[in-house]
Amino acid sequence: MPPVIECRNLTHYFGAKPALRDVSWQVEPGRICGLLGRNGAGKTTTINILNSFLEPAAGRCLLFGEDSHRLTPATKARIGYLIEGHVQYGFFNVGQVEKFHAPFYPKWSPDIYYHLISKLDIAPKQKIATMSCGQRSQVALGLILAQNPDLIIFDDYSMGLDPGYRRLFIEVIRDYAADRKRSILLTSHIIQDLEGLIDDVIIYQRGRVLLNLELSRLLATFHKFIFDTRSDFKDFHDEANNLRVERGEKVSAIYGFLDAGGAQDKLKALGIAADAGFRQDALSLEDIFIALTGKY
Amino acid sequence: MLKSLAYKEWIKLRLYWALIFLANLAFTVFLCLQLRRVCKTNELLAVWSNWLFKDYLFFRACEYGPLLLGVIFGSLQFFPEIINKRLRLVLHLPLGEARAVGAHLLVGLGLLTLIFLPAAGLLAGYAGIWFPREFAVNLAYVYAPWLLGGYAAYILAAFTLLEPTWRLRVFFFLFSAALVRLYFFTPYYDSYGRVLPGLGLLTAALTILPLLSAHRFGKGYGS
Repeated sequence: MPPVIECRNLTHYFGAKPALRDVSWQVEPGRICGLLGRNGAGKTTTINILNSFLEPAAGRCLLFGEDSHRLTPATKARIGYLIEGHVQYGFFNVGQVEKFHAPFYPKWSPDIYYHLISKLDIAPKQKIATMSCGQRSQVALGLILAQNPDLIIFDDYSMGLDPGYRRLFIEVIRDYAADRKRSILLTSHIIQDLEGLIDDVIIYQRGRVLLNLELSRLLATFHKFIFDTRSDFKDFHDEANNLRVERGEKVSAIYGFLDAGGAQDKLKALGIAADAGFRQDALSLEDIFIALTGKY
Repeated sequence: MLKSLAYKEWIKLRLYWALIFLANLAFTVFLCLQLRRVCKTNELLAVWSNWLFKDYLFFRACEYGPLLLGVIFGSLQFFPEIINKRLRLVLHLPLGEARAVGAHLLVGLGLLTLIFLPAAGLLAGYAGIWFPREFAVNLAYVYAPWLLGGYAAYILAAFTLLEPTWRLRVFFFLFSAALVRLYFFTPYYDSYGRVLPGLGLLTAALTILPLLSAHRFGKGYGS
């Protein structure tokens, strides 16, 4: 089966500043892919290109094999899109907004929408403009899921959501994608939420793809080793090889696609004494993300 | 699908539309009363000759009414679409950009017509009671460019608001302000009669402009 999303050599500039530099990746059918990156890394630029709200300076995106800027209405109906900030028309109430969207989508399921809405503490005639960000997010999510789309793109779904709504959002997405027939691309800055959700991870750094890997493989092969700080050394970062050494006052750490022996050899090569207290430490996806992209 | 977009626009605009409709109707009734007063206190021939020779027209007060209504209605319709770039919600629908924006314009022009026509009809009907046919027809010729100016103002408000960059938005505003002057050169007797069809065609041609702005929005200009 062809990829659901395929970005080929995407390049874009905002003025002279490069936003995307020769970015290529793809999402296979039935996969949930997390597109991660620091602020300004190029995630939203990519999402805007995917949704044809931005024309790239070079390269192209294909959705279901069609150019993202020339999608047929039939293909568009297969794509759900959550706009950053859960943007919706505030003048609608929950019934009106469902009535507005339903005729556009041949596979529309009002039950899915109203099931989600029934969990919210809102009046039937309440305008969307008067809802909380969390409630609005559920309305937006319900409208997307009711489309029964084959691909959903969530642009920073967690923006403005409290932990409860974030959890609800994740659970709903997980249930929806459980049959492995739908593909999802999502971006978020709350990386710990994604660990049990996504299958694949793409990490951007300054407009480039820093890493594109299956999440299980990343978690199995990317390691952190800590050791007692005994010598004076400066932090070290090798972006090309995804390697970072951080000096702490008492305990220092090395991160990378290394086993224990490889880590010790690398530290030795860098002239860092790491014999005392050398051991592997647990690592979450967020730890890996910070190790790869840095704190500053 | 177009019905669905019309439904959305109606929900968005129905309150504003009703208020504007009533205000415009009230203003028209005021003009009718003014006409009655002018006709009661003057000889009808004097009213006619005052217009012919002294450029005095009893309903001159409503010259910029349609223009104002066009700007207000266009702003009320399209301003909510550009806040938080909500237009993306519409452009993402499986419909096509031109059809989606065209449907918005169609609904807006339709609602505007429902504001303009009853008022214009009332005024024309009332004028018909007092004046001979030729005079009433000429009154309509004077009123028609103002009405077209109202439609043009609506379209140009959409054109300006949908433009995604501020620099061009300011330029489009100035361009629009200069363009609508065409509709308000003179209220002299029979002065617009021959150019009225051309003015109508120009107004119709203007509808392409908001589509261009929406296309630029869709291409990500100003992002």
